[in-house]
Amino acid sequence: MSAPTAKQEYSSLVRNDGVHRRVYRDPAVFDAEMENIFKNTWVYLAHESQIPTVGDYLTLPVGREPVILVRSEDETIRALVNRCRHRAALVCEFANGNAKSFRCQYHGWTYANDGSLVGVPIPDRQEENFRERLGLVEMPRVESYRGLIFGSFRDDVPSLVDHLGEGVIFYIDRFLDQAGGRPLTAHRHAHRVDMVGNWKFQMENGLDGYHAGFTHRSFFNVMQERLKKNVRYASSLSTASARSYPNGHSVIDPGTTSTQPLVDRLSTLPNATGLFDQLREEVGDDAFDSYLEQVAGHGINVGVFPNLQLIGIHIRRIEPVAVDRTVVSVRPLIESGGPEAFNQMRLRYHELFYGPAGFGQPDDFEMFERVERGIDDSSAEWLLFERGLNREDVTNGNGAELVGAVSDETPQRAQYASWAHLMEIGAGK
Amino acid sequence: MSGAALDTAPGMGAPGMDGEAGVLASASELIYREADLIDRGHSREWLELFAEHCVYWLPIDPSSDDPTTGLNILYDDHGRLADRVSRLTSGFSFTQEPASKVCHVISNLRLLDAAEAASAIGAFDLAEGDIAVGGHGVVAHSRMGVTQVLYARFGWILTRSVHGLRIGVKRVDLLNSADPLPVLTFLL
Repeated sequence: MSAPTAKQEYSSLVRNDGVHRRVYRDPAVFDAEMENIFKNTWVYLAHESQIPTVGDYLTLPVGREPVILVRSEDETIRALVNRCRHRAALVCEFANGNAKSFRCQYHGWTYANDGSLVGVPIPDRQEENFRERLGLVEMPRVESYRGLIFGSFRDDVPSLVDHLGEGVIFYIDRFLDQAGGRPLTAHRHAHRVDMVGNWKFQMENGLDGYHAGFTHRSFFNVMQERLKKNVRYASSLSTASARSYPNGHSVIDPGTTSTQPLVDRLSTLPNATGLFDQLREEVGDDAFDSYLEQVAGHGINVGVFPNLQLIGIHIRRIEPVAVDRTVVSVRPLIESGGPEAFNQMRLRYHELFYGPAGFGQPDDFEMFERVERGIDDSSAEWLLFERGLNREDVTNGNGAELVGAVSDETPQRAQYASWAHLMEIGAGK
Repeated sequence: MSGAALDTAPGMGAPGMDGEAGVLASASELIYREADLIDRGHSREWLELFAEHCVYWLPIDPSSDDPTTGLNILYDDHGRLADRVSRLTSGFSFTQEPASKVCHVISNLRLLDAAEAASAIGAFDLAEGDIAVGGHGVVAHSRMGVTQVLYARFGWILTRSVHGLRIGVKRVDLLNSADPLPVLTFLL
């Protein structure tokens, strides 16, 4: 496969009804994505509750850049590139922690947790400002929306709120207010799966209202067997919708679909009886039912292009590693200081479906691997995203560009339109 | 295991063995049988080795002593364990269609006293006659032309039932439990 170099070549890989397989398989396309997408727009980093106090940090990749996300001494959250300005060694080796400074252990250059260079052993430079000049590289834009921290390597992007847009923010708010509006925090642990496949398989799949009944059939069967009642949710129900928004964002809205099938699943959790009793004791009879509903969330999926998804009760971050390798992190939200049984039920509910050994998510990864194995052998070079193309519309969109049926590929078309747009901007830089 | 608990376990030792050696021999026999059932794909028979009130647990945090308080890779009671096996054998658990070939190499087995069990396995009540065992293991699994190897510390609390010795708690601490992991839908 040869690398597309001109912007026309990138846009030629995406049509409104499909995506060329090179988009998933060509290492040159992946290289271009790391520059043109991950260094060209807002990228989700973490939740503020993961670094609650001054000095708290976590490390993560942003595209190919190793980044330290840190709450600096002045309380500002900064995204510093984890690379000594001298010879490019990492200055922080840990996944998370608390530090006043970061030191390169090669030659001892030391940076304060705001990125400034504060120590250089045996200095030999005469120029006065070299310390200012050689602080850690910082992502020029870091902004949060209600605890969700995003960063941009490009400084001339619109504000985060404008980038997200009112239509998407409505659903982000609904997601974050799922515990009756009581504040939620990110759990200190996440499930992280090292998957075989291009990162965009997960990007597409998190907003795919078409696959659940097939890919997750075994999950529904197990629930059906346990509960002896209908456990299907959302898919094929007429009021549920798939919605696309500006900048490649998208939503699956369950509409008026009852969340009762989600609540029903709670009776299958380990020690369910004990947890139900404990919850009733903690919150009282009157509040019990509403707490129980809040355990499982509203059943909405929000996709913020390119790497964030808010699904059910977790925050999902997609980390591209290589053209055929991706780390997917799913981090449940809990109510810090809230009823213990409520939080435990949320964790048990999350474990039921998600993580490397969950009853649902692994089957998604299996499908991505099957695509990986099939994609090169196919005589057809295009993957189809045409479902619902002729029936999606803008009626009652509330900020949405298009609204389709829940199983329509409306979200994916928006994702790839944004993908092509950013790839072209980058190529034209 | 301290002497007091062992003394209440008459007849559990292998023939000709007394005391701790006999207890370890019977525990090992169950532990190796368990690994063999997994490796041969006999998940329903494997499930039968578990006590009615059991815990099957893969923590993320190796220092955790209680599966209920944090997020786990896997935390099953008997109900969820039965669901796991039922899903696995349904024909629609696609990560196991075709199934992984699995090979357990279990080693370094030793009896743990109550304090060691609390530290290595967690804050579980030890009933009289329970046997706590620690060990190390290497688990290889192979599927679709890819073989992966996992390393882990294992802990078991074996308990007596009318059916004989059963698994009350099985804990598996993967060496890389806090790192991004491959799909782990086969039994460990």
